[in-house]
Amino acid sequence: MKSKFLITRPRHDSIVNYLFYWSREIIKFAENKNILFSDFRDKNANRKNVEKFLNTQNPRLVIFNGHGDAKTICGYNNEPLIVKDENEELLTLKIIYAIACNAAKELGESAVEKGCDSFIGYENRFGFAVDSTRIATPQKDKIAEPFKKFSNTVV
Amino acid sequence: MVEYEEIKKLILVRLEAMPSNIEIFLGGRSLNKEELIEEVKKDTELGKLIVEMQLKYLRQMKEGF
Repeated sequence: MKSKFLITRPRHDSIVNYLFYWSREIIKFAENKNILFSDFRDKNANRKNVEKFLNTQNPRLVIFNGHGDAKTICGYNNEPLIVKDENEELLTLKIIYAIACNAAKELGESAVEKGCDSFIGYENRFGFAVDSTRIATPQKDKIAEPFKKFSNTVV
Repeated sequence: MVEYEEIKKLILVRLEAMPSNIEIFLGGRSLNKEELIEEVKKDTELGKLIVEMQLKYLRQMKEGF
């Protein structure tokens, strides 16, 4: 069965752990609406898996959670997944939402120039406030809740 | 026009008043209250970004979001 969208959810530090839990809402939404998806979580959020999936499954929407910089979106253990001038053509004809620092600044622009339909991301650092007493349980963090809501609203 | 140092003082007061259990995850780093204050005081790149973020928030609050 063909997946409609891909979501990457590494979980190797406290910061991406929040994104991991935030994305559960997106996944639940998709499940409730019977929208097909593939969830590359934890170690599965690696370059080999992502490139193979983008090449063979051709999803319409891709949601990347992870660290990044102006030219890079990262996955598990900060392995670069999509890198400007290396493989951004894999994003051709797709809609991308990259929750990664700075990736819209250069990578996003380059991807769109090379055929990506839409690249939604952040030109500056992505940040949010948290309750330090809830870092181990992001799903209970009321301070981070508004940031989760606005990020998930994009999807 | 308000000088940057005056704005910085305002932001430092705001940060001082922040509850101690709040941390900011920003650009791959985790910053507690003391670290945020230090970055602003030292005028680091991150400190300037924090000031800019706080100022934007205050302006939007004034304009009613």
